[in-house]
Amino acid sequence: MGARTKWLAFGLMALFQLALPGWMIIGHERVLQQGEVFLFRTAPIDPRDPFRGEYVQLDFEAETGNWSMPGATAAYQENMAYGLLERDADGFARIGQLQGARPTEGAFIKVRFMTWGNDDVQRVSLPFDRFYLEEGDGATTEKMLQPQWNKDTLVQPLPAHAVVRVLHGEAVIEDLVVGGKSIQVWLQEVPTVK
Amino acid sequence: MLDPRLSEALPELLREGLLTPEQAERIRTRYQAGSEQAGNRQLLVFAILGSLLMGLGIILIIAHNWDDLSRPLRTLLAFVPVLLGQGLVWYTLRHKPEATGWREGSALLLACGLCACVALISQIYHIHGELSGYLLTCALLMVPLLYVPGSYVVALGYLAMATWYGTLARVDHWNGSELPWPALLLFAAAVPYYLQRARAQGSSIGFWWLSLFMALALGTIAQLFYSDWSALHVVAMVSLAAAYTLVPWLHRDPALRTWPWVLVGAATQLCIFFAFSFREVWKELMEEMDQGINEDTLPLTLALTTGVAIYAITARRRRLLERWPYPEGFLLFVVAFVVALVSPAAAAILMNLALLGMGVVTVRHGIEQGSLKRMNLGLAVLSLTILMRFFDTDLSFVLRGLVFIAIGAGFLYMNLRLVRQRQRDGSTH
Repeated sequence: MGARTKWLAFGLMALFQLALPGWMIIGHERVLQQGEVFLFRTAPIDPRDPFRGEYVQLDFEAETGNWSMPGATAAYQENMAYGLLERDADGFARIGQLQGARPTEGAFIKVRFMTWGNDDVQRVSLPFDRFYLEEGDGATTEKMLQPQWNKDTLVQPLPAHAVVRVLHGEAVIEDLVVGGKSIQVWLQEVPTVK
Repeated sequence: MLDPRLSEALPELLREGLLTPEQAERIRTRYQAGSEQAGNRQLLVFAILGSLLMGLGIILIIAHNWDDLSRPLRTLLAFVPVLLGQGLVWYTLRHKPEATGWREGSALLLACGLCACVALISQIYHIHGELSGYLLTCALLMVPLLYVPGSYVVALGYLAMATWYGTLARVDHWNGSELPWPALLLFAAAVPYYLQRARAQGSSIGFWWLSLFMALALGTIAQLFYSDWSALHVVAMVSLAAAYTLVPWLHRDPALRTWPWVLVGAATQLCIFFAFSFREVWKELMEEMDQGINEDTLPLTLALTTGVAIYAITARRRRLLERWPYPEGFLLFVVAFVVALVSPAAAAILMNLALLGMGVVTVRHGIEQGSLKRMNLGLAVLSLTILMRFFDTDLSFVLRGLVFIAIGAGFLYMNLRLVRQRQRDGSTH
């Protein structure tokens, strides 16, 4: 490799290695800045990722429902579809309808689902399912958001929802709101769970 | 440093007239060079280990997730490990282009920096998901490192990542229609690097490891394009395994360390043969003969053609059963497959005969070449074939005991015979 080629190759490599993460950032920033806000009711549980740290796994109410998806009827088959977003009476997001073709208007997200031999769909997976937290906060969040027994009374956990920005089918979680407060604020007020 | 025992012995040997001063000097230079080389190797190992630990440390620190820092600051921080790594690679290219330790260490640090950067972006934007997506992005960012500083260790990590990604992408969505094509592309991106290394450092230990990872990566990724599993899929796997064992005949340089291909191919073939020496395995797979054949026509044809084509290409350079019997094992497996269409039991018997035959050929090769390892492998194949039949049959404990003793005695006798033969050969030469 000649000297000039070597430096050119190094330059291209460095550029590529900065551009790809940069492009990821810009894509997500654009959704956060310009995307429409949807609130998804959720209950978090706490797992860890070997590389990316601690997060709460989010299980959304909007993932269950009764939809039909004509055409996708194979048994035990995993499929992809576009879920059209709408809001219920309380202002929380739900998926109104599933469709195979990419919608041209309205807010939508890509979802995955399984078919079991007919066109009924009862459960879908949303394209966002985790919220990263500082080390140690995952366990606290999970514990505090489980139903707890206080003497003989079952105390229901605080309601939680994710604030999600949606733009052209892309979705980015902006915040996790617990009992009406952003999770970062809420975590400062609750005792840490070991 | 020269071995103290050698530095003591040399003057003695000189005094006794067993060595001339020139010979003594040459021995001294030879061992000094050897110890310097060993020192360099040690330095290299420590450079790699040190960089790996530092890189993993950066990933762990980032995994803590610093909530107190603002989003823009964290976004900026994500690039610090990358820029640090790139700076080191630049320094290596400019000032230490020949130093292997610097090249491997700086490339490894940059690779870890890239993984940390993607992890941090995932945290900041709560990017959903499966580990496979993360591995794919990291592997993609690591591709250039194979060529610009050109690092063996990064290449090994890269191949492992590509294989891990492909397996996860396929296994997590087994019922999906998506195939892990990116894994194949990632593997293809490493092929020019492999060929380049073969030309430049084909006899080095680094190339040996690279061969091993290439063989494992290709073997695993090739299995990810099937939608189901039938006996024909196994034939395709044996075909690929046989092709692996023919790799040494595909190049002219005997010093090229392509042995890992043979190792992986032979191990795969032997495992399959042992499994298919049971009648039940044939019976079960032949009952579901047509599973996935229509959907998998392309990958099946590719795997089968590869085996046949490489056998045909190497046939002119290789005598029948030369060095090892695995390529011929493929042909036998095809025959067994055809036989199984009529009688699975007969196919199982044929497989047992094939294993016995392969065992005998391997023992013979071992004896001819004076290789204890190879002879014992042949004996192990023979013994295991016999022992495995114990699972099928209802023999008395006494008879089983006698067979174990016979096999043990056979091992001892053959090893003793070969050791004596070696000693005889040594004394006659």
